[in-house]
Amino acid sequence: MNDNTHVRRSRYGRREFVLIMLGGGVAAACTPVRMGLRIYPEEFKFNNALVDETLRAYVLTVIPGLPEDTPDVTRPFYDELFGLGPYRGYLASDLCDRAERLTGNRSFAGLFYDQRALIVAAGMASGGVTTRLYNGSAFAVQIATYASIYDDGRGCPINEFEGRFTLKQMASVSDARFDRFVELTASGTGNPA
Amino acid sequence: MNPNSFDAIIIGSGFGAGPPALRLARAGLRVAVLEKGPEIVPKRDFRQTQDPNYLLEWYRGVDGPRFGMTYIEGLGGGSGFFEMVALRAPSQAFEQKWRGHRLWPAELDRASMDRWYGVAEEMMHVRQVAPESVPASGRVFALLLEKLGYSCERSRNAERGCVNSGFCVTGCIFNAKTGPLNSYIPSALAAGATYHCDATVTGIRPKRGGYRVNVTYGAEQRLSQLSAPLVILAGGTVGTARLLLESRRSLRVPEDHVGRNIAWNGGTKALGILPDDLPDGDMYVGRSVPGVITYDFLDSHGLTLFPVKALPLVVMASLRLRLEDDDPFWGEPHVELMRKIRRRTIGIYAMGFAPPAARLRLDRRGRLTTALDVTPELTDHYRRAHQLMADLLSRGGCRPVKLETVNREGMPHGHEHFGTTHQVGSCRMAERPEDGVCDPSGRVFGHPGLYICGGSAVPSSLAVNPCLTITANSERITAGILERLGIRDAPDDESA
Repeated sequence: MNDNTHVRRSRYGRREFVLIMLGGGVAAACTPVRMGLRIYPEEFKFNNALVDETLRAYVLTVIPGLPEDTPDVTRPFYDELFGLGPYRGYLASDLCDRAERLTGNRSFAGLFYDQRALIVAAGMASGGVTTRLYNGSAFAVQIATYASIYDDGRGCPINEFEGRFTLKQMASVSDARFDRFVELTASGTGNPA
Repeated sequence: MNPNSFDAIIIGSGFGAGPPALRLARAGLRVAVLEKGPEIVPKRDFRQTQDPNYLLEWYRGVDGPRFGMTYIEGLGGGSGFFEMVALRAPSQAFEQKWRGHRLWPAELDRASMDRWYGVAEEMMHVRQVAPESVPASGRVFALLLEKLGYSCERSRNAERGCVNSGFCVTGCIFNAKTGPLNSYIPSALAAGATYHCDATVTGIRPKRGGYRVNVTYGAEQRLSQLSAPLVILAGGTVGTARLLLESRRSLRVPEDHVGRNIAWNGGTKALGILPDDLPDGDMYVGRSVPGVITYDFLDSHGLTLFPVKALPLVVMASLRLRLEDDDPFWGEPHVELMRKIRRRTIGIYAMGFAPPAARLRLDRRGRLTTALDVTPELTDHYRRAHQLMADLLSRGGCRPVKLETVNREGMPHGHEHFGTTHQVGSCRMAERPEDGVCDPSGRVFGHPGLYICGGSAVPSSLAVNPCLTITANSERITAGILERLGIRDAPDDESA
């Protein structure tokens, strides 16, 4: 046993170790079972700051250009609406595992954008439940961010969504000379027979 | 007087329910309207938000492997959330044939329906959109068509005092929509009709001289039994079919057609990046259907086309957008596309005469699901629509955006999946029981006193939003009911 093996194995808790020793080794390699039984390193179960930092980096990879101080970016992972709560620890763990395999640096959040994008692309393409989790997470954070679902007044600077309507002059909405574009019409009333 | 006994019970409160509720109450009948969803007071209940939890208070869906329908449960049915478009269906809609038979009863065509369209238009204050109220996205659409040598015209809407906020689909906080929620319902209440919200009808059973209707009220599921000699089903394509399927043992309605023959407008959309010679649009500001339509492709392609706008939730929750096939739907390429989406994109929507190829069924656990026959006619309709819109965008110098529909997990459907909010026809009118559930007068075959008034009776797609046709057809059926009851009621303008 070399030091690296020791370090990696030490991230699993007693419950996971017992499951693996009881023939759960195959199961532990199987993503749905690992998610369901929460078989991933302990630090992603109890270190909320680490999970949040990793997921924030995931969101900023899916939506680069989002201001760093944007509030609520990881809230979709805690929102029952999206059902991602039980899987956020696994996702954070998987991102960091992939970061370590790609760069030797286990901090996904510490990577450059291009490195993070490679990792997310690999997760999206890995097939099965992992693909569904990566896709579903991107889906949720895009909905939450672009539609500003947690704050009607904030909106999103990327797609210029204002969150809610603020009364505007009609001139800024329309073109008072509109009829010049519709001189030839099928009915003139909007209701051709 | 038995408080549970009425002269007429109307099940549903939307476009199909408005006319009988008003006309029968005004004729002096004791009318109860049963609405499954909650009461809605627009200025109290509506919000300008993209919060899905808010929308899920009202929006409902029924889905299947190939086809999904969205509808509203709440007072006024879809009228609180529709996009105000209120157009008469073109003549071609009434002349459609399917498998050798005319879908509409022979006595009904555009000319015979025009009288009833007029009544519905007056009630719902339908007017052609004013030139200065066509928002920027409508102007861009008109300019694109003009550039290509086509025409378009201003559409007609059920509205009064629209400020172009663009939040039509979340309910108008300015109370500018003049659908049933703001027209038929207040008039019917004033005429003495009673509205029961949070009232779920769980079954209908014939009784001597009429029907018994089982109802549960509110979250506490309080049971009640109402009765009336006249029962009108106006719960929409989904609600009416569900009720008849659930009542099939007690009511013995021929099952061959209940829940079947569902048609929709075959709506399909295209999105393009605007070329430099066209001005900015605005995907968010302005009425959500931007007030113009072209009929130039009705004869040649069987399609009407109009511009569409969409608030971000609608786009993000239903579509993956890309500029190139190998672009990811996330990351920098996607963000670059999203930076353009508000002002530099144009959305086009096509509606046409898709065949009545979908159906609803109850599974063993009592859940509704959909099924769809992907017929050559249906495939051909969508192919024509996609080709036409791609051609217009291309010739207009627009760069096409690739659209991929996704499921609730955000995963691509993997095959063509059809969805609509314009479903009609699950219990369609027909001249013979062999072809439908009710006759052209709305009478359910073999069940005197039981009528269908809503969208479920409309037998074909319409190539325009169906709400005005549903209302007009309901006015026509209601006039027939009054005539058979020996009551004269001259419909006039109640909206003034």
